[in-house]
Amino acid sequence: MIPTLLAQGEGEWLQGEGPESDVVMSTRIRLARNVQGYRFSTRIEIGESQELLGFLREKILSLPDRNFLWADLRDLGPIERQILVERHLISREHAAGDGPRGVAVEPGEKLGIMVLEEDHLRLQVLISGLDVEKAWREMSALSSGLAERIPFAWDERFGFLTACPTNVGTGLRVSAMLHLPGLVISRQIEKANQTAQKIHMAVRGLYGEGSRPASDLFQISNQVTLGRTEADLCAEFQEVVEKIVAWERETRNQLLAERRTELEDQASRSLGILERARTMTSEEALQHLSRLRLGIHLGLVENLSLAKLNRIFLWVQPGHIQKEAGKALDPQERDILRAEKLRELMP
Amino acid sequence: MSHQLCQMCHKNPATVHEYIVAEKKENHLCEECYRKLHQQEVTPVIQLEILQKLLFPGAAQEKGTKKKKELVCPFCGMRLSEFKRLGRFGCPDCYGAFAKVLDPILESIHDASRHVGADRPRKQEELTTPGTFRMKKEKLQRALQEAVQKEHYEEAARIRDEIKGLEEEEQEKGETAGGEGES
Repeated sequence: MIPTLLAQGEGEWLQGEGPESDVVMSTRIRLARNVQGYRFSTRIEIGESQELLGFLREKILSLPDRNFLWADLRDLGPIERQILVERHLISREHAAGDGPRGVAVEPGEKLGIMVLEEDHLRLQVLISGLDVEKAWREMSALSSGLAERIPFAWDERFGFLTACPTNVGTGLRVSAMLHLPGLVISRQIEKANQTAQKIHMAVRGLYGEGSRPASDLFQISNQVTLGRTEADLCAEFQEVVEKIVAWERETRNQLLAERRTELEDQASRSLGILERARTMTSEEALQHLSRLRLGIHLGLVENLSLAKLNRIFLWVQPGHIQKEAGKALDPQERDILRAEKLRELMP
Repeated sequence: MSHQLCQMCHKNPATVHEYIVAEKKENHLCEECYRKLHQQEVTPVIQLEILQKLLFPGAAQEKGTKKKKELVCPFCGMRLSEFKRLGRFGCPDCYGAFAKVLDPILESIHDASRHVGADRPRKQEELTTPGTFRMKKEKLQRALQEAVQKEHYEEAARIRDEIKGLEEEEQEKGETAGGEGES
């Protein structure tokens, strides 16, 4: 079922819509839950985990008003797993693990559930742009639906119990994927990172290389899950990300005012390379795509929508390239196919 | 752009590139080594450091004084030293078993040690899983063993009855509900 879903298209989070989508690609909320009567992943025995997987599968697929598709990870090939990772539907650990484990996804890929990852359940809502409140509403509805059917591991003092004490309490992790080329070019990204750390937020480069990840994409997430209410955690996160967004925009405008020709030159060169190259690593592709994305927002690139560019970010990754080829490719073969695909996609 | 080699195996081309901002560290790896690296990293480095910093000074002091019995979770058998190494608990009961040392750990991670978020969802106590009975039974069996060892025979008899009752309840439930889930 899930392989069919993957062949159909990509998630709604790539639409390039929603608030602040010039800077924020997506907002994600994850909720960790464990099931009463079972040991955590560190201690669970194979018979028990097989039983729990069946139990959870039945509960998830019978949720009213939901339309989850299911896959047992052991039935998926390496490329299919890789694609699920690239679409942020499962973690790399979940893809690489062994033992009974599954994934449930709704068409549109807004709602997803990792089953028997580090915690028995990792619920996920992934939406386009920055809207923590909306993501939380969706998550709240999903977790309430499951709570009517599944008893969760719970303690009055510690709240929802998780395998790792870093997730205990609310089990809530809010994150956003930010495109921050302005802060990278102006060398303020370190400062942004330090500021975020002081208020217990973690910043991590995505698909990066060098002192600047080629994609200029960063993921920011809350580190605290205990001792605050879900509403407070969400509101604080929204506020912090809004500040970073304002900072990034201000920096972009300043760069445009001071270094317009340089930015135009970079965006045009990147476009030229993407249109013409015959072989391209994903690293190089991400670098040029990042410059184009900035170019779109500064009005320097025409005929390319944000939604399309967001999708290209996904298509150039190794799993998707191999899906396109319909077989496993070595890195050199991927680079050739990637360049071919990019030539086709450029306006 | 030429292909650089994986910094771990120096054999395959590096296809996964990550930059860990907090550590100002770059990794250029092939997919195989990436997987190996991140599987080994059972817990993110920073978190493990916090845990170890907190737990090791205590452990060092203990050595100087009397040798205390190591904390062990009575249900899953997870030892405190193993928790330190993994950064992960073995089961929900570990939270109770390690409660003595847990507060400072939680304080260091969350600046708090008590949950103030959402209440337990309604009617959760009425729900069961196939594991609920088994876990209850396992706990009772352990308690029974302990009672017998300590020669508390009255208590042992009481626990034995409780186990019997539980088994009957399970059987009834199994017959009426046709068994929950798949196995």
